[in-house]
Amino acid sequence: MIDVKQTVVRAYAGEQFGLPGAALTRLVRRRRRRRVYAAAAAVVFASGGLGIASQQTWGPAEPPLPGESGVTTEAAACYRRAGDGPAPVAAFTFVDTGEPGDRLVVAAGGQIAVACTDGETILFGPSDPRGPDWLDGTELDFAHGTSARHGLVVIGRTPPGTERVEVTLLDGTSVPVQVAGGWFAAWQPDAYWSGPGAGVRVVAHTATSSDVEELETGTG
Amino acid sequence: LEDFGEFYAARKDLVFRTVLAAGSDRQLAEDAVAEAFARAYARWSRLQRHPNPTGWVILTAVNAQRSWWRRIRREVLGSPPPEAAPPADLDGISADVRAAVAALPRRQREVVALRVVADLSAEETAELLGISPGTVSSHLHRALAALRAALPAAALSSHEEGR
Repeated sequence: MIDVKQTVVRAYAGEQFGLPGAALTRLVRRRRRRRVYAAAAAVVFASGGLGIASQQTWGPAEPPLPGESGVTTEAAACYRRAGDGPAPVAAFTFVDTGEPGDRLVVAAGGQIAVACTDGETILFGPSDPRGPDWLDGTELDFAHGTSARHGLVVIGRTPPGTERVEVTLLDGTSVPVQVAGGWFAAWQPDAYWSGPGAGVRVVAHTATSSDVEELETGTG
Repeated sequence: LEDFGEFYAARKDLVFRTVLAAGSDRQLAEDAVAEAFARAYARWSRLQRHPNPTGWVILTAVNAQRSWWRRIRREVLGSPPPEAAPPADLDGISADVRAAVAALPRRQREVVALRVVADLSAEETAELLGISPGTVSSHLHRALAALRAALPAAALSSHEEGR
């Protein structure tokens, strides 16, 4: 009688990863340079208007199709996973190639937002215990979803007159955010919603004021 | 970053074996593991707080490997890349076992890699693959049944050849 699991383990037991340390260092340095360039691009483009900075940082957004008001067919398909409902009015695409859940599409409309990754659908809205006023667009409000697979997703409504939105983790990490149609979406693929002090802070700036919402969910 | 050095030294072989089992191509596995550890290094301050940093590196590598595989397949118009030769000292039984694992459907292969080679729990595997623990168990059950059916013949033939 063969112990299949042990046989499989033994079949790979002799393998050793032999990448020289220097090679790993070179790879890390190359990636760090890319990250610096991305950050510089964000700073340069941030003064140009909403959404542009994060799109430059995270790769090009899907181009809209005629008549879809900026909502891509991919985003519309994502939105339909929530069932029949009003047409989405805002869509966002984030790309972080090669990571777990390396692409995130968000579609939002009515009081429903849907985030889709490879194989996962995250639905925000209809069953939220905060009641029917939640996500109605009258004030800054947001929801989040997180897992080891897709990281942290934050989706919300901006109050009227919002010019700029900032999303940061409570440890100070800035999260790329996109804003459109009275909605915003932010994605940090390597953020984890656990441990002491975990949480997110959202600031919506109008010409005359700033609204701040903070959600702390750390277990420590 | 001393912690990362310890993490890398302690986990690199396990990650490599797991990624190799999940994908079967040695060169792609080496590249993917290097890429995954590079990403882990760049994000180490946050990754340390992850409940399963080893699992994160494994899944990052598996995804990178899959992404490169897709890219290669497109470049060669659908033909898979030639598999790198296994180590010369690989015995016949191990080679047969690897061939049997490589013949499994992708999801079953990934579950075997994570649950058996990496020895992760069903819950950890489910979280990493974005499926339910029940689905993990189902994939594992089918994979082990397929391997059990394939292995006796493979093992016997290897013994016969050795005589």
